[in-house]
Amino acid sequence: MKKHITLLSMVLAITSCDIIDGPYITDSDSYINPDKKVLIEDFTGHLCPNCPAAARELDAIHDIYGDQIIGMAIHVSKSFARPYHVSQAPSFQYDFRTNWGDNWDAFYGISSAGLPKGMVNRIGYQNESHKLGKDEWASSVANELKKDVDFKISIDADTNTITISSQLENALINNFNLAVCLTESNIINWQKDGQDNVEDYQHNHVLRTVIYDNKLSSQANFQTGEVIENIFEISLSELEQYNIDYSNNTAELGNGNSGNWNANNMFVIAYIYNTNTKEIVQVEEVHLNN
Amino acid sequence: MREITLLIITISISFLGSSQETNLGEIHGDFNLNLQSYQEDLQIGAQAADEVILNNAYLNINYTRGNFATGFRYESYLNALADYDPEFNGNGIPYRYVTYKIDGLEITAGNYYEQLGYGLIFRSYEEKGLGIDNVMDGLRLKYSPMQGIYLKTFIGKSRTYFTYADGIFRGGDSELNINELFNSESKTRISLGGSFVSRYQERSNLVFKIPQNVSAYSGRLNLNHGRWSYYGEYAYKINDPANVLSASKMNYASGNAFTQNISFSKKGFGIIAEMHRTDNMTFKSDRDKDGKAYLINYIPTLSKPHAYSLLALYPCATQADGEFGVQFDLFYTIKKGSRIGGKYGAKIALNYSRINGLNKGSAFLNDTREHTPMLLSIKGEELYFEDINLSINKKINKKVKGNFIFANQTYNKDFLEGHVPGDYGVLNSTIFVLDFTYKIRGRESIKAELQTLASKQLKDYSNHGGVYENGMEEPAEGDWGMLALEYNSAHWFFGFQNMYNYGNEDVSKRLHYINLTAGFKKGANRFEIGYGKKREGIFCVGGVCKLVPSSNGFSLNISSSF
Repeated sequence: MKKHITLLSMVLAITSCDIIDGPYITDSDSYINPDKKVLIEDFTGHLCPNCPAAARELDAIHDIYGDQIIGMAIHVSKSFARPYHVSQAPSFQYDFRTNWGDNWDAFYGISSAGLPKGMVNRIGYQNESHKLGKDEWASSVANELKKDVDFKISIDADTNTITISSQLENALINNFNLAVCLTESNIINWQKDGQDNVEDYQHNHVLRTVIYDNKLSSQANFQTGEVIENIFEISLSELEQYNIDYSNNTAELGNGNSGNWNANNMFVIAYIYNTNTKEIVQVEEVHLNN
Repeated sequence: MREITLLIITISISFLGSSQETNLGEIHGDFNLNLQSYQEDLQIGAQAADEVILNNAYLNINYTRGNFATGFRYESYLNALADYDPEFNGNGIPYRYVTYKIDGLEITAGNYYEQLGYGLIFRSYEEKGLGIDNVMDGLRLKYSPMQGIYLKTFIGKSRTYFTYADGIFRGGDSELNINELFNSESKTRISLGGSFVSRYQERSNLVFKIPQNVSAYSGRLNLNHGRWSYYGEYAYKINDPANVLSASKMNYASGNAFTQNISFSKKGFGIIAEMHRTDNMTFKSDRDKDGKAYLINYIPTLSKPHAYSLLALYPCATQADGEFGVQFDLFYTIKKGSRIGGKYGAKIALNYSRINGLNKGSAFLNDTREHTPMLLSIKGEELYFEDINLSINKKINKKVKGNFIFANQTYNKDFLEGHVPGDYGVLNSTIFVLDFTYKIRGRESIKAELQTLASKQLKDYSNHGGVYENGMEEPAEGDWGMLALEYNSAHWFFGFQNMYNYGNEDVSKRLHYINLTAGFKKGANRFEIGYGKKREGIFCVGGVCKLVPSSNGFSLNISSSF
């Protein structure tokens, strides 16, 4: 019996151990980090005939990766996004532009390079490779989705208060900014699409306003597990009026026709970016009334 | 399972039936019932139970006859008490076994509890207070081919609630007692042990390699020489990653742990020094599940288990994922008749323990990151728990004896309770306990207990070299006081207890938690009724902890044995 038990123990010891050597990933090409989200900033304009193709590309990428892809349509520049003169009404009378969109466009030099162009998590800013044509988005998205995350963002929002909770996944030195934006989908308005002037084009995730774009926290560094909470009180009517005033007073050839916001179709997008590299390291989106 | 249970009962009855023999064997049993009502109390955050009352009950029956034993336990959770996982809800016989021993071989079929060494790689045990019962179901063989050699091997699945976890465990253990083996009368006694356990769980992952057989090993040495005693155990576990799709959560590092314990004792004096370290040593019965119901190993706590309420208000939970700790104990008895000891002498016990995190966290290995923490590091690491306490136990005269305890505890509430860093920070508590028992006559006595706890929140977190910028986010519980009175006689007992959180930063929570109990005991039966409010808190046994929700209501406790 002793022999039997010793033998049994030996058999167990030999057969019951699966020590695994790296690489641990079996298929690194198809690997996606389920916690990573990617922002595609689609710089566009309703007068840009090639831009709907970029919007369709964004939709196609979203269809593949689902909610890990967050889109933002930023109408910019006089040439691509100005409203037509009132004499040409009713076509192209709306002004989708915003102060923030125009500032980003100037800072990142997008429309001057021709539209449609976009940025995927603002990757490549430091070596001037951040301006991507629509056909470059997908491969950039695939790379981004493999990255580890340092933050998880959760958003609690209604039309009065927006709370952004950013949880640290790793201990970090703070060189991060937080941006909080509102977008609106399902805006039916004019859009050039190739040779056509489409009267009832559906404009989705259009940037409406930026509520905050500043330091994530005043702390010098963060520790793992820490949650940084940023709370914003908002007034949609004031924000809307700001856009109308911007269109009237600042935007080139603006007409002040920037209102009629529909809170039911609005979304909050919050993202955290590295202030040195400008890379967006995490992003989240929820409906304004979530 | 039901068929096996019936079979065991049938076997038991047929054994009982053969009553012509003179030796009928023995039947023993015990019963316990815990019934509690739950009323809403918004002040303390207690919730009412939909069922109004909840009830846990157990009945154990064991039959032994010579080398044969069988038994079962009936458990009833209708529904399970609020501090139990609702997964327990229901009735059943989750524990039944048959065992017999012959010529040094013991065979057990059905359920069995098993522990290898200290349990660093495997411990199947029951702790009703925590709602833990990971009993094995399978086969176990123990064999001693000769004096001094003890072998065992087992195979089985481990219980979770009323079912069994997915993993299949195969294990073995051998122990050599050198003195027994060589029939030595030496003053030095040596015993050596080695253990092995392996879990099989069929798993596949779309993206990552998953080991289906995960094994762990341990070796131990026990040395006794005169008044000195040493115990050491080292454990190792191979890669045991989770089964997720996120690369940053896939950890292929192996795990290891050791515990060392050296003690010296003579009459009236004893010292114990202990040290342990764990790194990535959480071993579960199902790799996909979380929670203590799925833990299959046990890292004993390195802090003194306290019985007094305020001493145990902030208990230390062992971190199998990674911690380093030391503990020292000193026991001294002041002789009777000495100047300090007085007529009856006195007992003094001094205890110190300190537990901190590993350097830059526990071991980690994947395709992009590799980290092995330093073997020993204390300074600058995140402190989890520290406790220094002195207790003096003294009989004052024929009627009165007293117990006095002073303690200072540091408790990393954010880390140990899984809060967001900066919510509560680290608590430092200074605690006094005075406990007097006055013997009236015979078995009749009165006991009075007075406890105070003064608490402050420490704002710095040592391992990041900084302080929480904006102070603590959540209001601290602050200072506590407690008074308890007890009357005991041969049959009756009554108790009153009031815990008063007079220092809570949230003024609306400066509450009295009053508990009243009354009971009657006679022979092997004990009945107790109670009414009171319980604070939400952490309850630990041996470093394994659970969160107990606040409650308000009546309780009935009945226990009986034969």
